[in-house]
Amino acid sequence: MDLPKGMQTGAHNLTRRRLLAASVLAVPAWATAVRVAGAQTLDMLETRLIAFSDVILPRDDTPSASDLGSHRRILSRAADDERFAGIVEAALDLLDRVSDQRHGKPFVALGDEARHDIIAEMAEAPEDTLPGWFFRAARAELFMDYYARPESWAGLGLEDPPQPAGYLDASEAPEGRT
Amino acid sequence: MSDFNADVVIVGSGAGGSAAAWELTAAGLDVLVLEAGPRYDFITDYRLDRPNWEQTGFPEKVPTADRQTFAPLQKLDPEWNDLRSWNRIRGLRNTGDRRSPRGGYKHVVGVGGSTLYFTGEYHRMNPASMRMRSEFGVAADWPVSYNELEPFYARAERLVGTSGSQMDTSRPRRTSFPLPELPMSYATRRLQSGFAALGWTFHANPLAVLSEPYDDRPSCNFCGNCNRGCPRGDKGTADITFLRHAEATGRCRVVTGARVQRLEADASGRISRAVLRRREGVDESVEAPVFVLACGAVETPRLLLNSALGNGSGQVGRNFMETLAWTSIGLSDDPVGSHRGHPSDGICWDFNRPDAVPGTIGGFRITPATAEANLVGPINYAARVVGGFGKAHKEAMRKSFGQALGVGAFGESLPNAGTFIDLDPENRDADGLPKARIHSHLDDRELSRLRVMAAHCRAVLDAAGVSELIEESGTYDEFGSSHVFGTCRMGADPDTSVVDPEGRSHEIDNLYIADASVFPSSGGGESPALTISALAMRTARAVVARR
Repeated sequence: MDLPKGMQTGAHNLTRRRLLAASVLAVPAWATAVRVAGAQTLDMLETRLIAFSDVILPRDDTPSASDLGSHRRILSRAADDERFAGIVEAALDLLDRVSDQRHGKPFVALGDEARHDIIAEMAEAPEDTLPGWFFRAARAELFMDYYARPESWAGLGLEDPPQPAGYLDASEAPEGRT
Repeated sequence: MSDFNADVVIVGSGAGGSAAAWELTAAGLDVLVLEAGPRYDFITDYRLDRPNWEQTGFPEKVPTADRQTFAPLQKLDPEWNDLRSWNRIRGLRNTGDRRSPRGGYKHVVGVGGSTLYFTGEYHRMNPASMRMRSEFGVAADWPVSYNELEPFYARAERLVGTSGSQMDTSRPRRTSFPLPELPMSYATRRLQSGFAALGWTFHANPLAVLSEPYDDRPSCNFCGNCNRGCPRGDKGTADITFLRHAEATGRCRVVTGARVQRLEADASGRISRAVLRRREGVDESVEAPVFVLACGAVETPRLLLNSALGNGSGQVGRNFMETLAWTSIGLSDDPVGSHRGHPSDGICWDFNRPDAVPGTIGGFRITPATAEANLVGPINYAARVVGGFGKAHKEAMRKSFGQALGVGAFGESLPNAGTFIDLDPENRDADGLPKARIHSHLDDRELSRLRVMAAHCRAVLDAAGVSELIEESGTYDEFGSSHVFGTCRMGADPDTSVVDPEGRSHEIDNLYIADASVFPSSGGGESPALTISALAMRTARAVVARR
């Protein structure tokens, strides 16, 4: 039988070495940029992470990821997980290197469109590569934090947590969508 | 515990143990309930009022993921690739070539057991599903008829406060449902249009969820998060229904954190005491004239096997039946607010009879499944429905939220020689006891039924005008069971069953079992909580009658 539509294989049991090696093999254009960053100050790391996070969830009618502090969830995980921290640093280094190659300046100094273009390329990278894995893992952390904050809910038709009010209008057509 | 002289010791406080406790105390017996887990306070433990409610599932106080182990599961066969679980953003859920145990045995360790986690589906068995051996040559017949069970069904439904449709004639009833049906959500009515277009009947699901205030408990407010624990008390969990009333008699004492290590028999072969631990390394024991096991179809056989008791037939742990399930999720073109409403407020029983589908033995039922698939909040929408990033992602979130529509099917699980529970020779719990090990094999008969179930779920969505599928999941490529049965089968023949038709061990005359491990067959997808309770009450009556 054929696999249903939409099925693709994904990564599992990743090791950092495999991620780094895979990115060299699978994404040659990015490969030379892969390196493990030396010690960075937390401020530097946070600034770079904010630039990434606000491309994922930019400010529009609702706040950006960093407006709500959602990028700190990634920092928090990195603080507890040395391997993850190394991947974050390596991925942010990669962004800077690609940005430098194409625009002559680091990722944080780019405009919105240029940042978006680089992240779009990252999003297309296979999951078993450094950029592909980082994009998916970091985005998942941002979604987990950002959408747990009511400030992000405007326009969804969701005003409050499920309780204590519940949805007494559940039998009716939804209202309040903007 | 020496200050409490119990007539009966019950191990486990879920749908079976609590119902037995209530029936025994109502008859004037003193009951000691030993529960391995803690109590849950429905007001303080289930925090659905917090903005981050979606970040966690049911707030387990005792982790359950590693309580059991799994023997290697079967290789996946390309013949069944249409039953692989997938998501349009994440791709295949199981990328390996072997069935994964990741979904695990879903249960709760605590006062009330897995009723704390259920959505409240409160189903009577289809009478036709209780004669699988004589009518269809599979599984085993129930030694108890539906008519014998019916008064216990009605009694449990009244105590818990069960809502249901008077249009539901799928099971004979001598009395009507105690409460009117829960109103269907707008999203479920959208699905109902699909059932109607296919000519299939669909009506309110029987639920242990209050449609109006009852027994000092409020009615449901349709928050859709039953699986995370009901913070209002409108869902009829065993702790706030059976056990609350049992404790109110003053004849029921519940001891929490009591991990029963083993049962011990005296020279006559009767159970003399249960050895338990509440503190590391410190054994205690309780004695009573009668013992009732109600730990569920995985832990009850484990306790018997660890005690080396009651297994002269070699049947303890055999005939394990698991959850056979499928869910298809689609995306509606228009807003339906599908995050609102009870998760399973409607049901189609048309295919529930064992012979409902030509060429397939064993039935199934179909229900809404959006909330049970955990698509009730924006985090899961972002990760599983929308994906992407940037302003396009945020715009898509605003367009899509509340538009996922899920349809799910639960089906008959038939026993086979490769599916059973034994003791893991290599893995032990914190007390040093071997863990239960789950062996599971789905044969072609099960997979054929699952394929039919999947086709029906897809057909409902299509008929409801939902043509874009975004996610499907099933138990072919990932074991995941909340309903488990059969490992201490009830029957008249001591060679092929563990307990007699009253739930009493064939070998030990003061030992009873009151959980789904006694089920001779699983039913065609019925949720088992009500039948567990009804059987437990009937077993309790037998205990009383033999005094």
